[in-house]
Amino acid sequence: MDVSTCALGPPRLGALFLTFGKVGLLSFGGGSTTLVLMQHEIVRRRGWLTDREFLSTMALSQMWPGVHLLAQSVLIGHRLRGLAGAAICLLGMMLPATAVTVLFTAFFVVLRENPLGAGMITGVLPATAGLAFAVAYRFARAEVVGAPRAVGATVLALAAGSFALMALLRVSSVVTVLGAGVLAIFLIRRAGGPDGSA
Amino acid sequence: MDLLSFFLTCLKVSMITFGGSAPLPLLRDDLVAQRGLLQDEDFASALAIGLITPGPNGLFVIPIGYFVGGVPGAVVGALALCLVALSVLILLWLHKWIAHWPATKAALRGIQAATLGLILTLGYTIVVATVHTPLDLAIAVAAFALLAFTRVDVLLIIAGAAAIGLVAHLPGI
Repeated sequence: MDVSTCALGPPRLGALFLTFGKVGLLSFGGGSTTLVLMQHEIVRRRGWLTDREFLSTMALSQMWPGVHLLAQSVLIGHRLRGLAGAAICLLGMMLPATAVTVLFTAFFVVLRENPLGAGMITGVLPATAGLAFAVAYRFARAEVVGAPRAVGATVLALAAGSFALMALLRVSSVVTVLGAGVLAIFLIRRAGGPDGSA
Repeated sequence: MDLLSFFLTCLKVSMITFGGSAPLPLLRDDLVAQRGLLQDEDFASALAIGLITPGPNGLFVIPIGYFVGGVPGAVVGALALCLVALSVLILLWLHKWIAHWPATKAALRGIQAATLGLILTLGYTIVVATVHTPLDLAIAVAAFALLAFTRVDVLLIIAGAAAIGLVAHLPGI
């Protein structure tokens, strides 16, 4: 397989399914691994999209709720083979990964009943708290680096405010998230020009 | 809880949050705080399983579905994720209309900021539910530092925490 594939017309649905299945199954560690593998397979290895086209599917997927990488699979599939392509790419990404996750959860439930397994789990649970904070830290860095200082500060203030509302005052998260969106329209436009970007 | 309401709950929380990990605290609100159906430990477990198994972030909905209703629950969770992902096609049409509005970008930034607050809330919730001893705290801090500041693989961090937990809870030590 090389870049010449794209000269042969759109990829077959079977090839799409296998490629996305491979990405879904091999991407341990979530987010960035999946993205890197997807870019490698679709742009570098198969030449189905250019880097620029790949980035545009990524940007669009970021603007939609839900799991961005699943939405991006749908957008790539749609671009390559229309609605059928969208469905096949999503299925490829989800099917093998879901099967492994279900099997592992069943295994976990058995493990939990066993004293030694329960010991392992008491070690893992506090680690997940640390991992969640690390994800928040990386997310905060991505939001603030490169943005105008006032915009970055506004984003951090909104994040801290949402945290205080939800974690300490137990305000509904739906209300908090939507409220932050509305508030940002006023705050960020004031802080960083018309659209809040640099 | 019947599978249809679980499906609708998953749809609701996924449609109002951006990014894989973001709906987790919302799901927790619904299933732990309001319905008392699951424990905080179940959520921490689901997050850990989502991190260990392959696939994009956000598949923790599948183990949560499993805890709620076995394999059918897991399948329902996966279906909800798929439906939300497919709905992105609406954006291709919408995009032409609203992308140039300055308010759109600003609102998205605000929603992302609140998402950040959501993830912090999630970490805080897990700390309250699972960190009881100095060793627990040390594991949490080490996991944070390793993932935030080094390139150590998540799988290794989880495996290390499991090994420490195993040794610390060996009978007779």
